[in-house]
Amino acid sequence: MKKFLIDSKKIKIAVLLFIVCIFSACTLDVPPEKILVKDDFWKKTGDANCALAATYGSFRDAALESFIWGELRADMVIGFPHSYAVIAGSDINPINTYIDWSKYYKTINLANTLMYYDKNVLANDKSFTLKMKDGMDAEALFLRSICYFYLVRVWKNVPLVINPSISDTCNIYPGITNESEIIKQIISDLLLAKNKAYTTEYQGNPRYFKGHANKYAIMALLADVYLWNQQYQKSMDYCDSIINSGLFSLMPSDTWFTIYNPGNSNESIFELQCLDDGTADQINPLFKGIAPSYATFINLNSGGSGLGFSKKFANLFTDESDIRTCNGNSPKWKYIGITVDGELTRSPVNQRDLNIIYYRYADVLLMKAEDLNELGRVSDALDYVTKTYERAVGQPITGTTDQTEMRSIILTERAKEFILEGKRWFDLLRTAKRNNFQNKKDLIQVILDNADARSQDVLRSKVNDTMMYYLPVPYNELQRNKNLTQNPFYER
Amino acid sequence: MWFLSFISNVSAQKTAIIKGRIIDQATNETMPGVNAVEIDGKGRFVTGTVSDNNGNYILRVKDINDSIQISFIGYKKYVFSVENRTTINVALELESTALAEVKITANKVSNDGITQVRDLGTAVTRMELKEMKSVMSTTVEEMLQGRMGNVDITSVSGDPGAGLNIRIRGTATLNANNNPLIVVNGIQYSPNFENFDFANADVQKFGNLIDVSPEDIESIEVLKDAASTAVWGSSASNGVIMIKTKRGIKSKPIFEYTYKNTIAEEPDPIPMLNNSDYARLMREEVYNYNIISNHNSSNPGNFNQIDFEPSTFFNYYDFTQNTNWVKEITKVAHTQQHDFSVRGGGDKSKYNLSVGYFDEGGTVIGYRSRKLNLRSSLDYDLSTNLQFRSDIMYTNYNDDATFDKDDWDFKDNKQIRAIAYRKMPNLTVFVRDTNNVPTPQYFTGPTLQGSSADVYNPVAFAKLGINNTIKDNARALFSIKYTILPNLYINSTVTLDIFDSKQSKFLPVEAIGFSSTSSTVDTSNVSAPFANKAVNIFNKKSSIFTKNQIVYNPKLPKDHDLGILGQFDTEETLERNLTVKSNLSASSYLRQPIGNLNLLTGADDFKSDFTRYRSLGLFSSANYKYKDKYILMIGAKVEGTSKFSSTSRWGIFPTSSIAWRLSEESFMKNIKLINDFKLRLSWGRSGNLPDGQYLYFNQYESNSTLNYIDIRGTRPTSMELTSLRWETIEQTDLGFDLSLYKDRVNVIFDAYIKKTLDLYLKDTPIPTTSGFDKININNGEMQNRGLELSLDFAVIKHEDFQFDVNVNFSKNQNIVVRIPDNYSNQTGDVLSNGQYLMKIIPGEPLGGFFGYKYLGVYSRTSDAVATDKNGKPIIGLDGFPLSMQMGNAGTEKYTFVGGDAKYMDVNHDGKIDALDVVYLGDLNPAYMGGGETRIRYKNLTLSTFFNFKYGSKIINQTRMYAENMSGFDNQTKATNSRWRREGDVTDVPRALWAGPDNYGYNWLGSDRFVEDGSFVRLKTVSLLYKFSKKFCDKLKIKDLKIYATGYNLYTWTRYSGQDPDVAPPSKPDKLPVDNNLTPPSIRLMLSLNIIF
Repeated sequence: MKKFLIDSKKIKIAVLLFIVCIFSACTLDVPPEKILVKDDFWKKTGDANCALAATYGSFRDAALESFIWGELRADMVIGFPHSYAVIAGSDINPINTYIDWSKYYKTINLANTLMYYDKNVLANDKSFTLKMKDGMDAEALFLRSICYFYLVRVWKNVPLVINPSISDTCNIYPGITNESEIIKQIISDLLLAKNKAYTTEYQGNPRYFKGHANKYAIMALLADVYLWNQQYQKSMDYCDSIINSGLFSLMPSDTWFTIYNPGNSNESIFELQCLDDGTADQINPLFKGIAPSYATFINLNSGGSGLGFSKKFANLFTDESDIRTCNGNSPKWKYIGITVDGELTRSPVNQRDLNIIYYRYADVLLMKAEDLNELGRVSDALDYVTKTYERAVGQPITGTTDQTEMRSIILTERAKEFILEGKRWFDLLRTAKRNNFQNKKDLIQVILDNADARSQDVLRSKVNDTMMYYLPVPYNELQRNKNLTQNPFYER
Repeated sequence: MWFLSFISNVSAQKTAIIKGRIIDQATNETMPGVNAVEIDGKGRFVTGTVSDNNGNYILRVKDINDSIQISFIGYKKYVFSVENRTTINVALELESTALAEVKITANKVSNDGITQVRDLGTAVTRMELKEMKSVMSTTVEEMLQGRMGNVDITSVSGDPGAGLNIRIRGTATLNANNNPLIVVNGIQYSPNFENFDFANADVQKFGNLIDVSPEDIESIEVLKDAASTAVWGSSASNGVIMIKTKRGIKSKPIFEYTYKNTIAEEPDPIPMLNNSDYARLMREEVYNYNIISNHNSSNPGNFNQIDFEPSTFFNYYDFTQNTNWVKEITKVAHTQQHDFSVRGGGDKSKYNLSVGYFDEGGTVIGYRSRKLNLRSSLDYDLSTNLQFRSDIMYTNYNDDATFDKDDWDFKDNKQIRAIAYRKMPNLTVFVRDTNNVPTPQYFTGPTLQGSSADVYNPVAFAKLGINNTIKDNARALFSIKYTILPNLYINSTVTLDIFDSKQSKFLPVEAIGFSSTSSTVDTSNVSAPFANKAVNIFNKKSSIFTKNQIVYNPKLPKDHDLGILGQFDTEETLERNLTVKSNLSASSYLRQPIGNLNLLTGADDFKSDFTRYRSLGLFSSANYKYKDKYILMIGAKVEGTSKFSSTSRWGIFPTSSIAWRLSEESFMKNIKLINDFKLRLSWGRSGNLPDGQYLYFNQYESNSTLNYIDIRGTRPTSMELTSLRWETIEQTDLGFDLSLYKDRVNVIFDAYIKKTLDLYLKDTPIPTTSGFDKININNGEMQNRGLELSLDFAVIKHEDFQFDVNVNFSKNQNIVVRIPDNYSNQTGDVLSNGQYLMKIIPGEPLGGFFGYKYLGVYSRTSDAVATDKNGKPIIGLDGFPLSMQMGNAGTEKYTFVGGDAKYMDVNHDGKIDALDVVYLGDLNPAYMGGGETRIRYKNLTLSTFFNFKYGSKIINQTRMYAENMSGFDNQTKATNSRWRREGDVTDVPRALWAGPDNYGYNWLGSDRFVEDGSFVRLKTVSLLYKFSKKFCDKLKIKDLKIYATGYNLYTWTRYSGQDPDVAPPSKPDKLPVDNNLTPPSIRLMLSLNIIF
């Protein structure tokens, strides 16, 4: 009957052991095993590269908006899908679902996050050099700046977010910042980026050289921002820096078409890369949202869901030999044709890998022309405005010595050169806002022309309020963030 | 260390040898196998022996100061001291045959282990099984339904294996867990898988299950307020249902066997159109569509299924039947249940072993649920201060359901019954030959309804499709109780819980009429994704719980009692799952997912997951009692969880309660009427956790759409949610317990306010300037308040005649007090047919829905005009009255005409649009309760039990789809009174085919389909006959009872659907709809209980 003979010491030890083994529980830090979390990221060069790729990828996702805001309210195309069409007709309501800035802020947040965390990579991975970090920061600053540049041109005053949203303790309820503050931020960011950026390191790889923001892309954007901000001398200085670098040139007229096909030409300065690998992951975003191909997206014959050309567009090219009409094939040919003179159309699928050109050398030349003109050097301006014209038509542009006339020549030349490249509305608005909206007459006419006959009379009483040239703060954003204030024009 | 002070005293010992003979006192026969043990002063066994075949024993006693105990199962134990004797004969006396009836004694200890039930200051509803013993139930939920105040239990459907929806004191949270904790013998029970497909899961699949056989249960307690649930921590914030099963008792083995046989039949279905009415309706629908000028081109052509085209003579008989599809899929169900148990034990050890088998057939063909339960409990007292306890439970389920449940694209409604209701009645079930003789092949050919996949043969679906779930649940508990000092003990428990399931589904091509033997399958065919579709879903969840308690009752002067409890508990849960789906396998005999070519590629078609969760808890409480009059409890639970970040993972939840036994006061002692009267007040907080794991982590993803050039894009998908924290439920409860007339009348009353603070709001929209558009936050407040009253009245208490009544009544009111402005969780597009608007509005109850007011039917087109406030037509600029229009946003405005549904134009703008939407109601019942009467005359007992709910509003979606007359679905007989020509006055609009352009607005979400869900249900009528002792003795058994029980015999309601007791939706953004789940059946059960 030994089993009854357990002494009390044994019992106590057994009980104690039992309890100890229960108490030996566990920490409450249980990281997920299936999900990538921040603490496992930002360790290697590859992580930083992936984060940078996502920032570009995110900005590419916003390219549809970049294009649409650049053309929507201007005078070259008509017939957007319904909700866009009412914006084009200045029947603008903050609840319109297409009034949406979220894609730009997504990109901004990714850029902010990258700049915040890439120092961790620097600390963790020896192969990630300071130069690589600086180059990456410069690209992030460029992407953030170009996003803000679009935002101020479309909304004028928007929230300025320069810190990443990494935790719910961050301030995610920013107020509205004035355009001038944002421009100031953009300029200081770009000046910083310019010094950190890569220059010609990736010249051997055109997709990388044109597809990533290098020093020249940054300077092109700087020139554009200074131009917008009426700092013409500075704008011109950066145009000159690009011109003097000798890295870029106007493509001659016989190879002009290579700007678009196959792209990444010598004329290109910054060009978002699209790719069609059959997955639609990296395709040109115009084909994601609105139409299956450029041909249906920009369609001369039907209003429908795509775009049609306005009357003004049809009368734009006075000279029939202008190569920009693509031998009479209409300018959309530059997106859908294989060569400029052939009859070969790209199949809709092939069109999906079209790159999106943000800055090319022609832009620099025309910006410089505008700078010179505004600085009073009207005849010098002629030297630059004629270059693209000469390439397209084969003869110099008819000049003038009158600054106002020259403005209009430059504006028209820009319309022709950059037709369907998403720049027209911003050109019109920049011209109009110069010197406190002295020149808003033409813009007003464009707005009125876009409106349908019934609402023109009502509009006429409103168009003098310059805040109507900008979009309202999206309704949802106002609901979500009490610190925002509506564009006063849309206050009821 | 505490144990150092317990080194045993070593003192001089004197040994001795004693012997003797043991006989039975009554018969004088010698007794072999009797235990004789020596027990020391601490109650420990020192040595022992057993008597031989002649009843003799010899025991070598270590210390003659110890006592000797002689014991045998079924006999009273005999203890004596040795003194100086050497021969000691013993005559054992038979123990009285008192059986396992548990007495409710005043010093029953409550769930925290220290407080006596009598002294509780908290709201606890307790149900002893004895009370229920006059009724036999097949399941525990059936025992509980309607019996306790504010414990709302609804079966999700009447199908076997369907889950339960349990709400204690209303819905307290929007996105976190709303289910109460179920605790069986101290083991928390959570059969739900947390991480598996919860986005789409509905309550049907994931309702609660209580897998304990009613025969095993000893008592059930429902803990409602925060003060009583505190010991269980966060998982108990919605209340606790505590089930205690029977344990071994000191007795000779007692065998008990229960057999139950049930026959179930569905209540009458909604009457549907027959074949000729159906054909007439379809013609009329399409005619009304085609007379619209621009619709002629969309003419759907001839209906050879209705018009019997000569060219299709060969399937003439396939389309000329009059099939009642609901009847075809319905059957009478049989259920069998066997429960067998044995229990008993001696002084030191007690055991209870039970096995149960349950085989339930469904009233819908294809449904069957089998369950095997094994349970054993063993209590072993090593000494008076050391006790072990172990419980092992195992359940195996094997459930069959029809394939349709969640894998078929049935519009809003995935149940096979819904399809059967709407199936065209002129179709045949089996293919007919040219002599109208059915062949063995199911008819799955193209039909009028063949434009989409949801219309194939429901009988074929149910018979050929496979949907089988095998689940295994094993739970084991081991606990030690060690008494250090007479007033200090520790109790440690480890529990292991493993839940494993495999669901296999298969749908053969024969069930859907898809046939492809060619090498290139036309995958655009709507049924291709479902042809030979095979699905395997594996889930496994394992949890380890530990709990350590230390209880101290210091000695205090008389009249003062103090108990102190400390507790430390942990939980770790692992879950893993794997889902594989394939289709288009080569043969219908390959029923498992196979082949790399056939694996489906959707997001959920091939996936696995693994999650881990941990929590720690510390709880401490103190109970103080003065003179049995004033009772005070305070406590606090500190809890940490791996669900939150280190800055916010710990929550502190204080609780307190106070009770005042008025009946002990001198001024009340003289009132003879009252024998006990106690006022209770409790207040406490508890934490509630959101569903899902790893919520706070800053997560990153590789997203291929963000790839750039040749580099993968990786980005954060969420912010780090460092401030995500516990949802706090704060409950204040005021109540009293009153006993009158020597306990003949017992009244329990509670009033409570239950506030949910820091409401967890999933996917709250945030400014997109952050780069994200939603996060999960804690913000907002919700409130439930209510009353509960229960009354027990032994009206007549006589030896031969007894009459008991018990009634409970409760009321709960839910209100959303505060939520952020941008969180409305709005769903529903009121400009489309069949949709109701739902949103969460501060000041309104959760689950409220909005829609139009239905005013009947425009008798003539000239009546369909806009009117002003005085009811006068509004005249347009052209001098004619303005027609009523639909305010849809599209290109062409719809103008109402004669025969169209008339909705109230609330703002008199001549347009029916979102501005005309009004509040229509919510599902929450205003009152609910139940009542039971029990009459016993001698050996015969009759019980009747009613339950009721009052004031809930239900959207009768079944009726909505069966009265919309806009498609090719069969409709109810009510549509025979539809509007047919100008001037008809009726409530039912005209038939109007929706066509490809979704034409017509006759079934917008309006109060036409909203019905009052109030009901009174005669839930059970039960007759029990207990055979007399004499009769039992003759059969040499102890007890024999037979029962006849009827369930759901009658329901008084104005609700037109089959079951007004609709389960609340699983999520707050879902409508409370009756979507045609199998109703609870009318059942008759015969059963027998025998104890020997």
